[in-house]
Amino acid sequence: MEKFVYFWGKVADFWKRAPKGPLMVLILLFAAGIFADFLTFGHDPEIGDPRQRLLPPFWYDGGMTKYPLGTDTMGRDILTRLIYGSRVSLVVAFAAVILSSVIGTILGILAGYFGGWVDQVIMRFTDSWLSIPTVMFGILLAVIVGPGVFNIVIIMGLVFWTRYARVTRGETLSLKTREFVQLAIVAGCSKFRIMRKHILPNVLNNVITLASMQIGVVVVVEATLTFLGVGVPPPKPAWGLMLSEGRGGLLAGYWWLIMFPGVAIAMLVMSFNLIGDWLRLYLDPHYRNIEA
Amino acid sequence: MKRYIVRRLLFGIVVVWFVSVIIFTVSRIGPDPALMIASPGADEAEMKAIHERFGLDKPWPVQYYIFLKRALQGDFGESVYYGLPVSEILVQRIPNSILLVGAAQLIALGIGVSAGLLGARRRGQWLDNLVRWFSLTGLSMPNFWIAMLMILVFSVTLKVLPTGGSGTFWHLLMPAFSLGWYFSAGYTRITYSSLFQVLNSEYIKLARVKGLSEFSVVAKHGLKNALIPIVTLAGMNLVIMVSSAVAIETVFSWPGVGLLMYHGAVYRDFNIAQGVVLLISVSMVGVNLLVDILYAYIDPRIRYQ
Repeated sequence: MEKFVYFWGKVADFWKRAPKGPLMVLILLFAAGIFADFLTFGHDPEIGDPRQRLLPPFWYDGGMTKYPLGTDTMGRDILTRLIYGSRVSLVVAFAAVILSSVIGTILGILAGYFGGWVDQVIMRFTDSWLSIPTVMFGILLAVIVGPGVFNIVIIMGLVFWTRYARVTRGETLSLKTREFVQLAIVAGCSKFRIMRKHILPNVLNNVITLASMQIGVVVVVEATLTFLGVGVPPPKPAWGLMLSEGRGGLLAGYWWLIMFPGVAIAMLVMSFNLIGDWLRLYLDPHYRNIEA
Repeated sequence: MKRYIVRRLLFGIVVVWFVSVIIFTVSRIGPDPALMIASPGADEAEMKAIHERFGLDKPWPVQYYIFLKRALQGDFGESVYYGLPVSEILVQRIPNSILLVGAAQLIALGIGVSAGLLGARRRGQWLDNLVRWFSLTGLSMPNFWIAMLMILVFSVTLKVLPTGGSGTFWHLLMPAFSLGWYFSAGYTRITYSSLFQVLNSEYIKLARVKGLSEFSVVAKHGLKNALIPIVTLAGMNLVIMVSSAVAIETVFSWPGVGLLMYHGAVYRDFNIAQGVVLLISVSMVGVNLLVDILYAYIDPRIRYQ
């Protein structure tokens, strides 16, 4: 019971301090992603009505309220694809961030804890990986594994793990000299137990902070790869894909094809960035008790 | 100092070697490049001829050895698609990339540093807020979307700028702006934080007490000392921008190395793809090395770590 009260107290505290605007946007997009099937009134995200191609938004002449934000070149409802697209974006973003943080954290802890040549090899490898430019590396990897939602998660995980490795390695180096780790060594804990029970929980805050700051970039890079045709494949409803499909209608002035997916990406990324900035201060003990 | 530089250089060489192995491996895995080159319905003999021409018939370690030996001499092999040496194609494309990245850098620095100045001096609250939102927006929008919106406004609606291609100053404007906007936010933040520190220091107070004009205090005494982190970031961004420009170059058909690399990767022109990525990664290592040495030169404590 006490634990329960403590937990909900924490949640209430979190809610009280969190930036409401970005959090609301995120909750909205989450809800859209989860309940997409009920929110789209029977429109199919992948199969359109060929008779209703390129309808403008409903407030324009020729627009229909049945298609509030218009339709694309294949007669698919744009709002429907946007709603289903939030599912794809969120799933890819979170899965990729989790995958990359797991890879990076494991390598970082190993490098920091063992030191010596293990550290040298892992860190030089990380440096090398970090100097290969993100978008181009993503393209190279994407060509190998081919398009697909699962594949793009793997690619993003492989591209983004480096910063986690650097941060956790540094943190592990300083934790290693602390008394509680030294005592655990004296008490005869195995190396892996120390890493798991004593080091991992203490680097987790930094990992979460870094993840919250990287997730926006992950969304943008995923959209870029999908836009370039090496990410999420058609006819899936992904925002980056909607942008690349809308590019054809650009010169003819079909602005709604690219406007709404772009706004959706920008809103998601901005919310992630704002929450990330705030979370960095919230999770930092120096700032925690200062009213912002 | 000399010891520190030698150590860093050795690290740099190891990193470059790792990079070459990673890029080589990544560009060889995947579908057989010969399938893209061969004519439809090619027989075994033709496939074998292609394999031999590009050295694909040899085992990987041998291929890697040949690749490394040639790359050290500035030869990145032959392009499958263009039938020309990769280095020759690169020489044609690099000036375009430098032009685009340089212009984008100017725009980013112009917006970013002035916004940071504005923020650090806390004058004109609403203007400061506006500027902060401007950089936040730039951070949140995919650059190729900004590019398309600009085409929509300036090419389709207003009909004042060309939709793509290169050659004149007007061709450069939209690609450079859509690339630079994102990076301006970083400059704003770093200018703000370093200038804020400097402006609260004793020697700035002294400059004020001396009765120097406000411009002289901020620009000459303040900004000069806040400059090092800005220049560092600018150096690193220069390399990152080349890679971020891929989607923008696609939208505007700007003939830079980004577009070259993208086509190379998609059409399995592996020599091109690996050549471009290797070049950029090695420049990145080089810039990092320079930054490390610069900082060690400025701050002696770093040298003795």
